[in-house]
This record gives sequence, C-alpha cells and structure tokens, in this order.
Amino acid sequence: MIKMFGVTKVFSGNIVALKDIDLHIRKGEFVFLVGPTGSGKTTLMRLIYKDIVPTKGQVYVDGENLQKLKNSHIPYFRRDIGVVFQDYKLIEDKTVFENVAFVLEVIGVPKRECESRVMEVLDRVKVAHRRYLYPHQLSGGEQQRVAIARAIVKQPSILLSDEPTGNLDPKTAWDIMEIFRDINIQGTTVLIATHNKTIVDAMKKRVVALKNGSIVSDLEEGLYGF
Amino acid sequence: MSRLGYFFKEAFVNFWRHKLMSFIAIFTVFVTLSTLGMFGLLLLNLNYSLKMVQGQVRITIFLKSGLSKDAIKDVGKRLSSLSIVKNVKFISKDTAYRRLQEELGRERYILSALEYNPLPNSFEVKLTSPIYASTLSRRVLAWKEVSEVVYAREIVDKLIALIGIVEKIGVVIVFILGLAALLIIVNTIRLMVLSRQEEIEIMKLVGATSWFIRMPFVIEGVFQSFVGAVLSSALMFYGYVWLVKNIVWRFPFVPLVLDTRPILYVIAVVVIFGVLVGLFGSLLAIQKYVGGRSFVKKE
Repeated sequence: MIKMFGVTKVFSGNIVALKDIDLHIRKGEFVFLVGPTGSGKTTLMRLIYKDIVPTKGQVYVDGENLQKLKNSHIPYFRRDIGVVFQDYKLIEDKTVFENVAFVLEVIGVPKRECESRVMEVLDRVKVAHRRYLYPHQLSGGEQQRVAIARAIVKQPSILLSDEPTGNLDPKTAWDIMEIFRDINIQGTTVLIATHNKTIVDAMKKRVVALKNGSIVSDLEEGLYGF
Repeated sequence: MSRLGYFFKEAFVNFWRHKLMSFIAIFTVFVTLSTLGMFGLLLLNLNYSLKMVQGQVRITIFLKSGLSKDAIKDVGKRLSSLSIVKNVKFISKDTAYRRLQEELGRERYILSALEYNPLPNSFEVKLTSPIYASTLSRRVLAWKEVSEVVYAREIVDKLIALIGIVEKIGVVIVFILGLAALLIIVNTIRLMVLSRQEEIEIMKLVGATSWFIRMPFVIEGVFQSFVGAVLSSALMFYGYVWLVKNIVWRFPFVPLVLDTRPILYVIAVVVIFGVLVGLFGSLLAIQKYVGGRSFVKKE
C-alpha cells in the first residue's frame, strides 16, 4: 500500500529530516511510528499525501508513483487518504458539523447522505452533542475528536494520524484507539505517529522507530522504544 | 446543481461572516469605479462642449463685386456640393449693411458719411468639422468669383489642438484609472484570500480541487464588485441629475449633456468593467494560493 525506496528529505537550510528510508506498509496493516521529537515522523507522513516531495528516492502509494502524480490529480489522490493533523487544522469559522461535512462536500457526496454520514461519525467519536459549536468553543480533546471524525468520514483506504492522543486523558486516548482499531478491521491501512508508550505496548502492533531521520527498528508486535 | 448551490452558499456565508472585509471590498470598488465613472462623465461633457463650439465655427466667403445673379447662385451650388460643408447661407450686400447698422447701434451715423454700400455679397459656410477650414479657404480662393475668405483662424486652430489633447489625455487617464481600479480590487481580494489562507490550505489537504476552492472566492469577488458597481452607478446617475438640475439654470452657458443615453452608456461601461475586474481580479488574486503548483509545498 505504501512503499518508500531510498527516500531522503532535506529541507531548505540543509536540514536533513529523513535519510535513505526504505519502508513497506501492506494493505490493511496497523503501524505505529515512534521516535523522539524531530526524528522525522511528521515528514514521513507528509511524503505519503504528497504535501512535500522527497529530495531523493521514490514514494509509491497504492501502486502510484507519487513523483509522476500530476498536480491536477493530487486532490483526487488525497481523497483516499484521511489525515489527522497534529494541530488538528480545523476551520475556525465553521461549526463542528460543517468542518466534517465539508470534506464530503468536497468529494461531491449528496447533501442528504452527507448529513447522515456526518452524524454517524460524530456520534462514533462522541462529539455529536457539540455539532453546533465552533472549534474555539471546544476542549483540546474534543477538537482532536472532530479532526479524527473529519479524517474518517470519507472512509479512506489509508489513515494517517500524527500524535492523535497527545492531548487526551488515558480513558479518551483508549476510546480513540478503539476507533482506529475498528477502522483498521474494516480494511483501512492505519499509520499512527505517537509518543504514547502505554498504548503502543498494549496494542501489540507493528512498530517502526525513527531516530535522526533513519529507521532504527521495525518490529511486528513491537514495543515502544528507539 | 448541488455543487453550484454549495459554491453560492459558501460565497454568501463567507461574505456575511467577514462583514468588515466585505464592506471594505465593496467600498473600495465603489470609490474606484466612481472616480473612473466621474472622469468618464467629465470627459463626455468636455467632448460635448467642444463639439458644440466646433459646430459654431463659421467661414465667410466674400465675393467680388459686379457678379451676375446666376454667377452668385453657381458659387452657392458649388459650395453646397462639397462634402466637408454642412450648410451654406447667402448674405447679400444689403443684408450685410443692415447687420452692420444693427451692430453699430448709436454709431450708425458713421455709415451716413458713405454715399454707397461698400459691403460685398458673401456666403456664410458651416463645416462638418473645423479642421477643414484651411482646406476650404485655399480651395475657394482659387475661384475667380471669390475675393476674400475670413475665419477665426487662431480660434479654430486652438480648438482643433485642444480636442486632440483632451482625447489623448482622456485615453491615458482612463487607462491609468482602470489599471488602478484593477490593482486595488486585486489587492483587496488578495487580502481576503490571505485572511483565509489556512482554510484554503486545509481544503487542499482534504482533497478539494483548485476550482472547488476557487469558485466561492470568485463568486464573492464578482458579487462584491457588482454591489460596488451598482452603488457607484447610482451615485453617478443621481449625482449627475442633481448637478444638471443645479447647474443648468444657474450657468446656462455651460453646455452639459442632457440626454440620458450617453450617461447610461458611460455607467453601463463602468458596471461591466467593475464586474469583469471582480472576476479576473479574484482569479488573479487567488491563483498563487490555489493553482496546481501550490498543492505541493516547496520546503
């Protein structure tokens, strides 16, 4: 599903974010990406939805070579990838409902279907009762849930999530992980960057560890560590 | 259809949510287009006054004495047949004498010192345009029946020069004001786009195409320009009507365009210009932020 061959990313100012990464994530896998802050987790994720391009190497997503993906096709390509951003990236002047519904409007889902799907997913992340509020009226945890709802509402085949439990209490963090597990069971490939040791250790999933831009370990049913 | 509905809904919701920004944009368009329109009206009137003065330029052709009636008629016919001549009026020496008496008024006793009428027969000619004055003068002087041609050479020459200058300056100023209007509107829309850059960024990340992001902005830009243009045309129209009402009777010698058709024409041009500027201005303003290349960051 996601393949990286010799991927190196150097940002302007000669900052090396990733060095010679080879990674293969199969369809339907659940993978944790761990590593200290600044190890390149976010950069790796951004390469997958072509927010940035590698300085060297190739990235393939669902058989598509991203280097050859035309700019005009990027929107259609991104529709199949759900991303939960570290800083949520909710639109401040749209309500919770609108923030989620708008993703379906982008894809062209009919209005009636749109409404029921948004309500269903808001219900699932337990923020349906907040649907008329604006992001600034929500707690950090609630904003995170809305961000997750927005990422999963279009039923993507890949879900990327950067620090999804960073602002959540342990109970809520587990609720969120349950949601991710459900989505994964339904066939979505899930890649989560996290610092949450308890969850990583308990989930017994594949763990890829990054350090200084290189993969230092890649273990099935791994534990948190790098 | 539902897409179109979405674009319009988005455009108007944003318009309403960013009321201050929308108001500033409309006001900017209003001021810019009003300036442009008022200059257009000024130019229209200036041109009109010049045309009025132009129509009043007369050329007097004096005939030699002792010509037969037929010879005089023949000269009149020949003058009328020229395409540059608008109309020809024969002034007999008796008419000229009477006119002179009237003009002299109390001093008409001077004429009594003369025992005969010294004034020649003449033709008064109006031309289709004063620029032909010297051509006609040269041509007619070659005729054997003509003794002299008189016209206000200096005034005519100045008038011709003035019309030329006004037309040239007019074109340049309209061009500059039009460009200024375009730049101001582009800049206003760009500010609007900048204030929503984050939103645009998010739209790109969740899979919106450039056109999907663009449409609400374009609709909003066109709508704002349209409202600004309508307001400015209302100001121009009612302002002009008011001006005409208050100037015409106080300064009857100022020739103003009173027909509403050319005024409406100027206003229509300004409104269409405003809406087009809104359309292309918003497309231009947003291109950098939603164009295909902006989807991948250069970092």
